[in-house]
Amino acid sequence: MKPLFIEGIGILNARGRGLERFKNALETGWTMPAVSAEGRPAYRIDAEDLIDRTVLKQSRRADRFSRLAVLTAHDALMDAGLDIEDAAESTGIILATAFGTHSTIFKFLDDIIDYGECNVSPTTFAHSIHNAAASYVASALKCNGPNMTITQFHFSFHQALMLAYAWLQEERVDRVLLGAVDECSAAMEYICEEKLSVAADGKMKPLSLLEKPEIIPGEGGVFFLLSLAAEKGKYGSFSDMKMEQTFKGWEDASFTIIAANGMSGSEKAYEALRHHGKPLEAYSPIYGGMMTGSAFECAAAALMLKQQEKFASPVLSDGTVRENHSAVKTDMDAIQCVSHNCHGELAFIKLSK
Amino acid sequence: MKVYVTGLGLVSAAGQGTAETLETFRAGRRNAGPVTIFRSEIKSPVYEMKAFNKKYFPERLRTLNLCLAAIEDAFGQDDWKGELKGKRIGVAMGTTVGSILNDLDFYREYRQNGKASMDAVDRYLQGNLASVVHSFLETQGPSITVVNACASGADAVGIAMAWIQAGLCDMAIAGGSDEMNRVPLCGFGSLGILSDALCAPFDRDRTGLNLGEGAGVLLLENEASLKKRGKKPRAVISGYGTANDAYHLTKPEPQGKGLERAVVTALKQAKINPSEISFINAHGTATQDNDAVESSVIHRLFGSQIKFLSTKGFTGHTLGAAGALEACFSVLALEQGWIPASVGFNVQDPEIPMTPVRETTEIKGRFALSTSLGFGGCDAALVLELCDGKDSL
Repeated sequence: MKPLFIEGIGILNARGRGLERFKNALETGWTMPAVSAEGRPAYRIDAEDLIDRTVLKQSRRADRFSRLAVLTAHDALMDAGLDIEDAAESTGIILATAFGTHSTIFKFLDDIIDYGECNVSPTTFAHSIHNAAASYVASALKCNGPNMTITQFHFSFHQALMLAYAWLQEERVDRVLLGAVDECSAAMEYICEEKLSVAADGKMKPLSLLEKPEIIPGEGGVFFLLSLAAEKGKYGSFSDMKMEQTFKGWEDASFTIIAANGMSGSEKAYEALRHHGKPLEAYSPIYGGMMTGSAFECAAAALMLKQQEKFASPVLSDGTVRENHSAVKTDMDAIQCVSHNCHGELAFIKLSK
Repeated sequence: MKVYVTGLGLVSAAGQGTAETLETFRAGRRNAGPVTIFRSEIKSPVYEMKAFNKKYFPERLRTLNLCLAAIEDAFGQDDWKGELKGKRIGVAMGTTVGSILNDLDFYREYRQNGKASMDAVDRYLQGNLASVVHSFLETQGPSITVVNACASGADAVGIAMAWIQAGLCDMAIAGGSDEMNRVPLCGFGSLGILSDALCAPFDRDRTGLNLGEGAGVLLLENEASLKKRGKKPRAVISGYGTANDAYHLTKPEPQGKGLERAVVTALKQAKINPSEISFINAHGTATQDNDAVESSVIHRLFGSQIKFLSTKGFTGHTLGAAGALEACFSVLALEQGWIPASVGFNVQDPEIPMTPVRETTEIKGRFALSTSLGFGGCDAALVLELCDGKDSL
């Protein structure tokens, strides 16, 4: 695979908007999640972080999911030092999501229940369509290029990355804004409670590699601006990717970030990776459990490769919270991010400096 | 690198499989009626698959069952399950409702009681089209569920083409599937674009679309795979263009610049001129906006004499399946040498500077164009090329 160079990153989650806030969260470590009126813990985005009267000027009617997408896509473009006019036709947009605009879909179902089939809101319907968010991104960034929304649960981000590679390889576009977005809602938190084990103490323990891992639902968005231009690789590159059951990892990877986040059943599968001699790290206790969490892990890896500093996992393998969070200066050529789905299939992404 | 089409799978109200579909097209039959799959106050006719009874999965996973029926049809007599295991085969499937947790009973129960049965959630989690097909067939390759509104099916075909050309897989199962569902029925109704009569694409008196359900699947492969499987190519996906209007969530940009870019990109990739296109299977939903914008782009690029039609009068608007089904219809038309009448069209619209075909019409030439437009400003175009004897391997 030709490397896809990372020109810029935009990120927003419960710990705030922007790479500085993300870096600060990785340095600060675990914090207690907020608890909803229904008593359910989750890492939810602060409403204030979804307000930006400049960037969202054209997206005033957008729902929460779309605003999250627009802000992070915009920030990735700005982080790359580009202007909105630079995107235009030469930039493709790929948005990966596991559950999409489900909260707006539920709002539309509210309409059907409350007002009947013939009195539902057209605005709510228009926003409930999966690709509404990517459409808002296109409008906000005046980006007329290819625009794709895809969903594949656990591997949504991986499949989107593969599509970005195909588009750049065939020179369909010069750049791709590749993003992953997922949001929490009261109904989704209820579903998580029913289908998964929610951590009563508010603490996910990803390095414990449990048979029945515990989750704190999370939400957020990450966008990467990608191209084949090596000189623009501010954060290195996505240098390889494998979805083969026999694959064991890359030799030159300094360590492995696992997407252990309580979303895909037993996390024992990651045990095998531990035996391959690479240290395992996990950052999901920072932003919570999301099927698109791999995108956050890749953002963390890109940041570490740029700074040549390794962030400590916030929760240790014995389940205790780490006390000292200082990033450690380390020479790193590559980091691998690994995720598995409910079928036990593994997906590997390598990032290189 | 050429991407060959070796199989077509067709499941729609126009018929299950090629023979039934062609018969419906020849006869100009329109299998529409009131919605029966669920109770509804909405009176717009729909194109349901009333006779559909294939159950690869539980009945309520209807989008998935439609999809698998189309895959089975595309493989024909081949051992479609056994043959594919462990092979480098991509799966790209477009859908709209197949990827949404929109079960009204679940949500009503949750809203009333603060808790609900997880059956609907389990169905949703088991229903991601590409993921399930990939697992069901035990293929090794990329798999993607495209949720790009009504352009999803065409985009899935374009993505699969890109995968094969990028060397990510040797073969791909590409298409789209959608079932009749209350949410889009209410949603399109709320936007005022459902017709209470049978849809009339490009007609002066058109009053909107009719929803449909179905699935369309194309088997795509590279030359090496073709040789290995001993298959004869039926067509080539010569070009794919995709662009976004960056204009409005539900309305196409009035000048159709996005669609024009998509078509020009597809023609360029196919390395052909507009004059080489023998006919266009247009998106033609029968809404005021779509038909006006789409016909203006077609006229601008191809002139007023190009043969074009909409097949929505036979299938209804099958949403995420539409682009794939219409790509299949285009390949069939190239093979058969004729296109059906654009049913529903009667009266020339003075605002539309061209006329769709009014009767079964002979076509000559190697290339066809299929266009798709979707909410969110998505535009897609596929150029399909007939394989004649020269392509036989």
